[in-house]
Amino acid sequence: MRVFVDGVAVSGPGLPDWESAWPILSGHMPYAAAPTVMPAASQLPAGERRRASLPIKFAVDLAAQAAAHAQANPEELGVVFGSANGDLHTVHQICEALAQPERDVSPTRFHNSVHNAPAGYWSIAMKAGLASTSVAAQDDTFAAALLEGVMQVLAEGLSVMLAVYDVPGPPPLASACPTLAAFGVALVLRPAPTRMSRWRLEASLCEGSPAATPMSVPDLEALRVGVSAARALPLLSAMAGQKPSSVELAYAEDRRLHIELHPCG
Amino acid sequence: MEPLVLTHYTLTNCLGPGIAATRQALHQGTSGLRPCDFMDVALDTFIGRVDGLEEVGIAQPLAAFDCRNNRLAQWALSQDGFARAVRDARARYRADRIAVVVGTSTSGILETELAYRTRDGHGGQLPPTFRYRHTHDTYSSAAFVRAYLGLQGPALAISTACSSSAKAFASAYRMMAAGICDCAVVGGVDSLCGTTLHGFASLELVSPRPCRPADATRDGISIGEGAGFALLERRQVGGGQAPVALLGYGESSDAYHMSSPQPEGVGAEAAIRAALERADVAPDAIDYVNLHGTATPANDSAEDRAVTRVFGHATPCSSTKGWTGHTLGAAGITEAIIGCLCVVDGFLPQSLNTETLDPGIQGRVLLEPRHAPVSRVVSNSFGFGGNNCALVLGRAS
Repeated sequence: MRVFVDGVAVSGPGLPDWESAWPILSGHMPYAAAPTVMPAASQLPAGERRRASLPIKFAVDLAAQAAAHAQANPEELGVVFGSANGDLHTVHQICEALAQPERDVSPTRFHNSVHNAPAGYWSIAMKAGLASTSVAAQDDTFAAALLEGVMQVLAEGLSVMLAVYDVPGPPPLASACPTLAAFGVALVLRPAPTRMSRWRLEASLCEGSPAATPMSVPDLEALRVGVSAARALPLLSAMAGQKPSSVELAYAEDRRLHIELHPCG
Repeated sequence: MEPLVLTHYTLTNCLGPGIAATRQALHQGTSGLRPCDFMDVALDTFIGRVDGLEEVGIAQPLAAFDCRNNRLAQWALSQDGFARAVRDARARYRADRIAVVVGTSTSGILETELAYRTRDGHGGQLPPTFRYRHTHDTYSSAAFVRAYLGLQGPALAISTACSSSAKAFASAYRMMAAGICDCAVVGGVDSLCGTTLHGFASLELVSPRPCRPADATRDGISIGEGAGFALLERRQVGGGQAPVALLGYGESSDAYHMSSPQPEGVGAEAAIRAALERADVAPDAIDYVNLHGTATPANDSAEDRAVTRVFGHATPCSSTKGWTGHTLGAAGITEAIIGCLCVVDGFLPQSLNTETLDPGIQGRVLLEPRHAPVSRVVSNSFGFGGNNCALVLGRAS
């Protein structure tokens, strides 16, 4: 299954954007942990920005960065958003309200609680009217979302905005579904090469071994293991390396997604 | 597109367990809605609650998955010979060539709601028995279905609110087209919880009466719960249910508002047209449209505009939410399978509970049931975030 990657965005602890992240992920600069920079999400219309929760702003900003990197028109992109846990802050607020005698759930929080809220806000902000899918697959969410994105590109002939993100929840939910840090990644996938295409990506679904590709830097490996969305790090490192390489992503317990990556031009 | 045959399918909702309960209620015109008696929820509304879920647990080795949502999934899987049909498919295709795609909106959030009620007794923490990953996690029901059926193929949870389990068909089609599986279990499950009951109430979208789609005085939804699954294969194999095929699907986004549909139904129309185009059929080849028809003033009028622009004013249509209530993430699979029953039975259900048709509604909404040959149906599902999906189902040739 072959697609082309025109744009990429990343945000995580010590990895504020792709421009700063790629020298680190390619091993040319040392990694230094720092809190993830949470965006203002100026792409959202004022009303939506006021109503948007942290994960919504985070995901929309990542997607906007990737679209800009790809010089892609968001209106022409199908959408696949993935998140293992969705918006735990909103879930927390709703469950707190439901534990009170009044059970006073805020209507805005309720509509923000759907898993596809970030994709919905993205479509509103960008007037993006094409197919939009929001998915989850626990620790394999990045691999599953990438696979869904690749299949949309192939089956529909569409270009696709893929964004996968996770934001830690507040206590006490945080301990029930631990997430080390806020991390997100976005890619613009194309069915055919454009003048902006940076990588050719070939994905195939294979039997179990070999195991998922680890990160060689211990702090980045801890991030990869500690955040579902950060399972994308080995692919991002391969992209940063600018040479043909292959990556294994864990998928569906005993399967794996094998990826061959070739720089374009 | 290459049609995919629903060789086996099953439904469980407030009408009862299994296809027979839904079929009988549709033919007899009996609703499954009742005044809200879910736990201690004190809302003046009607709900579609599945009786008996409180009593049936989930046995080892899958007991960790035990929660209302997975119980409902298990109940559906154990009806209509569905689990046995999947076992047969496993022998034909191998477990790793069968995908699982499950749509859900709120998954097992009820477990988290109940855990939050006990925080005072646990120093602000959640009780040690709380199992987020196996219950509330969005992927929990997909993981449960996959484990229950002993499958090892591609697996995915789709969560796009009330279009979730309609979109499961689209993702499964793409998996089969890409060759990463040979067949797929698609479906969805959503169960009653405080989040949706109080959440829709806060948006003033729940009716104090059984919902009345397309009625002049309609005033909101009745929330239901349900589960349904279908086995999608490239061709009919011996011994299946009367075969109906997925002929097309269409997906779109309103790009308008998080919780209100675009008033002219522009996004809905785009999804319906995309589904017809993929099925390579003209609008006049459709014998019946199963509407999303939630019975909110906004949904029904926007959907009517979309439907009449595509089909004109003669194609019979109705919403079946007066029977099942709005099963949210399970609405897509519930109504896709009702569409299958319409084809198999040559039966068009009326808009149950609807008394006076809204004069603003221009489509041909059925107020009485009809018996007539049905070759193809369209089923609409629309969700929060302006997420639209339409399916074309029809007689498998």
